Amino acid sequence: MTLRSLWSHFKGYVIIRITGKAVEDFINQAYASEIELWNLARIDGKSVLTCIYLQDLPRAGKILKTTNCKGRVERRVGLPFLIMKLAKRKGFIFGALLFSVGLYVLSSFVWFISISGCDKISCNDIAKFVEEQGIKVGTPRGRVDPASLGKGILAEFPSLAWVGVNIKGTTVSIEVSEKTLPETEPELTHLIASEDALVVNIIVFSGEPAVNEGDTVTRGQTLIEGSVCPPLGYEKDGEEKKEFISAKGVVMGRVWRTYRDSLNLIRRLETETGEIKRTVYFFLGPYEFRIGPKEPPFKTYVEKRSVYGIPSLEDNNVKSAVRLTVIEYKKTERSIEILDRKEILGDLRKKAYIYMKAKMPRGAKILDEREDLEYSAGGEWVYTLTIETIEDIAQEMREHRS
Amino acid sequence: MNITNGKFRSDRAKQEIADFFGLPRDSILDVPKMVIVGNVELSVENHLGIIKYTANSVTIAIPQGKVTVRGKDLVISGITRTLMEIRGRIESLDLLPESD
Repeated sequence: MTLRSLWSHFKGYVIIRITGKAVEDFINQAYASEIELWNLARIDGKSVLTCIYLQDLPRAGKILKTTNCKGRVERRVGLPFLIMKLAKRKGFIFGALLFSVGLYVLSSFVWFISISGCDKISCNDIAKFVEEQGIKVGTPRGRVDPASLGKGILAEFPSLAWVGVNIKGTTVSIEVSEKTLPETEPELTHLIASEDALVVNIIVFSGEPAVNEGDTVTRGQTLIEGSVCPPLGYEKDGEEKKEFISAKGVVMGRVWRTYRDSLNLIRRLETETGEIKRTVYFFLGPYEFRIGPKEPPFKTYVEKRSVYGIPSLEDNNVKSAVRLTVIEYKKTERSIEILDRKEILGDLRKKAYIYMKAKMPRGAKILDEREDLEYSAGGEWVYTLTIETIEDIAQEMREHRS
Repeated sequence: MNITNGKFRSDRAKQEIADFFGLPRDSILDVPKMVIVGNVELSVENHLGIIKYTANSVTIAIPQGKVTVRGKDLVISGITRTLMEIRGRIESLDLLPESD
């Protein structure tokens, strides 16, 4: 079925038989007054069959009269005739009406409730709650208020982070998203020493002290231990119940930190003079050609080697058979600079203090500072900075117990 | 449906113009454009109506006279002001000047 015939079916057309002496006149006048005719077929000497749109029939009737022809409808085709035919059948109309009313009425009820996104909470619980709110299969759609239902669910289930209620057709879809809570694993905290130190003062809030005042401790040594014990009043129940007591407290200790570095009074320099000599090697299979000096022409120099070759396809490690190597020798001069001792010492001291500051924790109190400058056996001046502080050396260490 | 002698001159002028500019002649001259597809379909643009229609022949009026199509089971599959389409088994096509 072509588009044109589909269109003509939609508009409705009739096949008429035109009988008369001057059928040609009818055709000419018809198309001249914009009446569309198609599929004209001569049947006999007097009559022609033609298709004509339903809407053109009254005008065609007038032309038939003026041209002394007679027309007779042979067939009616198309939607308008079908509707006319169906319109006569009252039962059909009633059925169609009933169908559309039924569809409309039924589509105004909730028929499906879908809940998605449940993970730990059971969807049935939410479904039960929704039903308690008066929303179940068969509830009129207008009675469902998505916003208030969503708020209600969120209030009822505190572990939900978000609830979305949508009504799509006859389906109420409830999407929920649960909160992700951090996992609570039983933990035991101990306090350990953050530095090598001498314990000056120890204050225990909870836990059991492992060192005494006046002790020297090494880095990582336990200072206060957390403990596991049955809670008060349940001591005899055995190991059924456990309480974790985390170590808490302040441990003040003296810490000595040193920074040591040697003074470098001589600076070696190598500067380019700007004189450059090039050697070019050209490799062609087993043959080798050279332009320029074979040996480096300078005593002190910087060498730069660049290789240009046709890259080998098989393996990158294999040198290509045809290649060009250019070696650039740049002449340099070496010199020695003797630096000012005071300046170097000042720089080193600054560096030492920056290093120390980075190492010291906040709240550390400086007790003593000592600087030393010695001439070592290696023939170098060595600078040493020692800082003594008093600080909280306790550091938390977690231990997982499950 | 008729050609007068006065029209002849202007026709020649139009033809000259069409030749000069290389334009398709049917767009300038008042002539029909006929397209025949094998021997099954003929479409005539710029026609002036039907003079005679039988199952074996259709005579179409054109500005320069008439065209007679002969064949078997000829059906006018469509007719509008500008275009006429004929289907069937076409056997011959005669272009006749007005005087015939």
